[in-house]
Amino acid sequence: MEKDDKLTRREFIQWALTAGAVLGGLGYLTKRKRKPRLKKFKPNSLRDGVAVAYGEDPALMTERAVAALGGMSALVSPDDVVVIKPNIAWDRAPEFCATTNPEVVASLVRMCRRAGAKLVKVFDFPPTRNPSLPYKTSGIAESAERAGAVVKFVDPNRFVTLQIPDGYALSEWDFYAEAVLEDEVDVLINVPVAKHHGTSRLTLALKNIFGIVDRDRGDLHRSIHEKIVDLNRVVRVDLTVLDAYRVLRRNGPTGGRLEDVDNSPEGARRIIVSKDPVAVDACGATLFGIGPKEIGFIRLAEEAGLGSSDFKARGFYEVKL
Amino acid sequence: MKKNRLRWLAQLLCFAIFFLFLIGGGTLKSRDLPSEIFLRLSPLGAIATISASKKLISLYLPALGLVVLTLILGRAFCGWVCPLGTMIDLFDWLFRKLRSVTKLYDGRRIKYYLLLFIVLVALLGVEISGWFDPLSIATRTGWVIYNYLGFILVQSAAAVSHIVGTSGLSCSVKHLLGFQIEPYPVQSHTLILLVFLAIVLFGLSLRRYWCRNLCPLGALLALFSSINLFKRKVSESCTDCGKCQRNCRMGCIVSDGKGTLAGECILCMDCQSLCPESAIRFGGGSEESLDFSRRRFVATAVGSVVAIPMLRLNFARTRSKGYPPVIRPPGALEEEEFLQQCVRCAECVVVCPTGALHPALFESGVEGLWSPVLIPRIGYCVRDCTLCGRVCPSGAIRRLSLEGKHATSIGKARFDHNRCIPWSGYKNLRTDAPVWEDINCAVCEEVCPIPTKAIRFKVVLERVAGTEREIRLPYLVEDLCTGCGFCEYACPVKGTPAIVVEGVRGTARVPKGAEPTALGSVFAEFPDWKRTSGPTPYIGKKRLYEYINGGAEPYLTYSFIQVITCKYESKSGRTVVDLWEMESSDDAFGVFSYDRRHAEPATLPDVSAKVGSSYYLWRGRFFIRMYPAKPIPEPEEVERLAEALLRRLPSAPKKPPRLLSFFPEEGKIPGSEVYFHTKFIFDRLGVLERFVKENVLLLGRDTECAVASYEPEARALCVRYPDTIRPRNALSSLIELWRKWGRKISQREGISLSKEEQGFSSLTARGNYLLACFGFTSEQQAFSFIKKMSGSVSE
Repeated sequence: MEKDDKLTRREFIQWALTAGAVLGGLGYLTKRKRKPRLKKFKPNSLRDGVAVAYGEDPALMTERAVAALGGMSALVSPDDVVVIKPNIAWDRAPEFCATTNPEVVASLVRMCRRAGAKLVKVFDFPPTRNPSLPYKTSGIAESAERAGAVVKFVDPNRFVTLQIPDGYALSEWDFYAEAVLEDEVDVLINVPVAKHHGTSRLTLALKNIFGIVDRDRGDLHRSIHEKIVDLNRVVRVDLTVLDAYRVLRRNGPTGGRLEDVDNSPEGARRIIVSKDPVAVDACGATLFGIGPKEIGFIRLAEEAGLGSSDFKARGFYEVKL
Repeated sequence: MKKNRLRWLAQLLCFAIFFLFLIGGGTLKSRDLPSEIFLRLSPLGAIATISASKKLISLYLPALGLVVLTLILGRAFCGWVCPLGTMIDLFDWLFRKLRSVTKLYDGRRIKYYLLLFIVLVALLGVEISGWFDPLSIATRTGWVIYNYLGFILVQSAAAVSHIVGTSGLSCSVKHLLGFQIEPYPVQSHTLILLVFLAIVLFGLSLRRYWCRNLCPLGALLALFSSINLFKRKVSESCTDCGKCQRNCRMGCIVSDGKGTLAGECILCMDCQSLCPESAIRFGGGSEESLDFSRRRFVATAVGSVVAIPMLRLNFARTRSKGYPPVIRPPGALEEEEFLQQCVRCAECVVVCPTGALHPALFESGVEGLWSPVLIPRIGYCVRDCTLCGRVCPSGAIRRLSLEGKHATSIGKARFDHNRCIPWSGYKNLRTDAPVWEDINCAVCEEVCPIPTKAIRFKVVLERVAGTEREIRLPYLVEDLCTGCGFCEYACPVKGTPAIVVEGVRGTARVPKGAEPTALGSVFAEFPDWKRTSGPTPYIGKKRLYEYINGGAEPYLTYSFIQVITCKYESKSGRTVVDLWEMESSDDAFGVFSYDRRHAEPATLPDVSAKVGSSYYLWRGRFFIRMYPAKPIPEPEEVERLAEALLRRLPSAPKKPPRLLSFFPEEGKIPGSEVYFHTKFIFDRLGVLERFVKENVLLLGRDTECAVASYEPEARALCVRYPDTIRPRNALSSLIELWRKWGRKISQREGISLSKEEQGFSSLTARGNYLLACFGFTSEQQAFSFIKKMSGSVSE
């Protein structure tokens, strides 16, 4: 009885060694870095060029615009994991045009499901402290879920550091694993909304990539044009759908005044789709009366070989509804 | 035993409801369910806040229900409902083997003295009931413990999910626990935990030590329970075995089980099931009263008076010269009133969707311990959220409508130009900086949730290494800022942010922005004037072009909101009335002063001018312009219409812009002043002898300017800049321009003097101001004029 109570030296050392090994092993495991394997562009039979749909029904316009390039089944094959990345950055109702139109997102989700996608994920990493507010207020969480997508918040622990070869201003940055890694995602669809932006003048497709990166996002706003392009060197977007059903003309990117939102058929009411994000941005910039080369990130992205700002060069399809 | 189990069930149920109401507070409250109901049950909170703030708080109506319940049932609340009591029972059970024989002082009277103390200091205006109210303690501590637990669980889930290498386990855990944001402990949580720890550790000595000796709410309920119908009654069959006395958790049984101390029984009914003789019943018994000492009551009363200055210690407020040193939740009452009504329950902290609110330590003084403060670096106030006001049990934070919330300002942001990236980078820009490396940063502007942006840019062009560099310096439009703290939260500057929000008085309001006022009723039919068309409003700057395309620019240099136009007809002629609404009365005066340049003063009650049958009137934020159409009406008739319109305007007369008061009265031509902002108007006034393309005076939307004419042909100019650097730069560039024109410039007492064809000019910069005069007949006159003006400016 008495003997059992006392710890012998041998037992103590055994215990200490075991505990040390377990703790040390756990510590190693939690720090271990895996080598990330980047997602590749999905092989597809979509047409090159840009498709623009005009009309009053955003869901139908999205569908027709994608159809003009060959339809979603030309991109998404059965059992694919699709990530749809809308702009869910702000706590604002869709009418204020600070976030992507929920009907556009829902329409894309439905198309992907119809093409046989195994899993359609919808997420964004808003700069707001509490992601549930924009997810809810923007209406995207509800409509995407109803269309059959899995809507989750971004997990701040799941960012991976990736090298950026030949970057203008960045050599590496943290990207969200679920959007950029090969074993996490097959098809990445970027669904930005056309808005004015205080720093980068406009926020369109290339700028929307800010929603899947972390580290110091505030710091990205210095030399913003170069950094937008650098981030886009890593992210492989298979399809870009620009929601210009409404256009935020002033006080972006947050907006909040209906006077600043353009709802006219002349200035807005269109959906622009292409495989080439630079072409989409160039086409989107014309909505603001700005030439593509006047926007720093479009010019630099073209120089970096990310796409072509001459958006009519490789085919321009217009669908009027 | 059966009744025992019933009580346990009731306790568990009440605790579960309390806990769910706590963690689901935000969700419940957004559906307008009373998740804060437990706190509103507390008669202690009610009495303390009502006597401290000296006003009736109807939110505390449920507390009256608890009082009535206690009159009938005695302290059943303590034994069956109170979440802190349940917590203590649980720990007492855990400590049952450890309970030592060494006894702490078992002084039941302490709680009465504490109650007296709380009520007395409350009557003297300091409200500290929240520190001791068990319901506040339970809410506060419950949240802190839940936060710590959540923090640990989420972090370990993150570690596990890293090891396993897949899927966001920590996110799932977070959602499972109902956290919308990362749980995050802050320093004031520690003190809350320590107090709770002390309360449960008393259980090592005596069961329910807090409830029997310290709880002031218990004392209050004990006072109300003196006539209750469920007093313990011991029948004749009692054998004086003393078993109940030894096992009473409140220690309220005396004289070998026969007697009960007054107001101490919490109706746990343990004794009834324990009694071997079944001699105990509840109902119709009598109690032995506690003996209070008069001396102690007097001592408590004196003590509470002495304690007031100590509780009022507030170094932070002294240091900030009475300015509230902290940011309070939106809708919070004025600081003094707020502290008198806040019960430190932390309900607002719990529901805040960004985790911005935290219980204070001593930031707002000793009495402000655990009152809510907003810490922008952790979170910010969400623009469309009013949860904290809706959940506040005592009305310390008012319920705001969404519009009211938008108009309420809890603080004002301030830039630190020495830390701000564009501001400091602009000052330190190297001449060999690579072209791509820019120093623009606009995260604060980007996230600013004010629809018209309270943070804006001024653009500076700087030549660096041969290229023109556009540098955008952010500045704050203080009137629009609501102090939400999003800018400070998002500021990418490490350490101390470059933009910091400082609290302002709780009820400070944002001046109404560019919302147009409904003015249709101004344009009534009058006996001698009939409306022929209109009123037609043109709201917003864009629509102004529709009304006066080609001539709208001067008006747009002022803060234009709307113009309403209406046509009238009388017997003698017709007139068109334009009613302009501006954002400020200064700007309305500005438009008025610009339009009436060629008119002469009129005799109408307000500031007015006329030329022929055209009239110009200014009142508050409004400016009325009346001009005749053919056939031209009689001026007297137009004047009567003007008077009638003025009477219907929803605005009081205001003083002209302060800038005008700097012009000396002597020799001034009455009604010659023009007030404006930009170079566009300045050029049209012909102050400089020739047109200058460059913006030498560096005028812009943020500058205020005024020009006045003097006998015989002189002009005076006064410009106010938002900073003190620009006036000096403007001064030197104007002097440089004069030199280029071949003028000789002399200096006297910091005033630059020069001779031109039309006369003598003088020029000086004082603080934010640039002062100038032109066309005086002698150098001495120009010099003394500017001297006089700069004298009134420095006043």
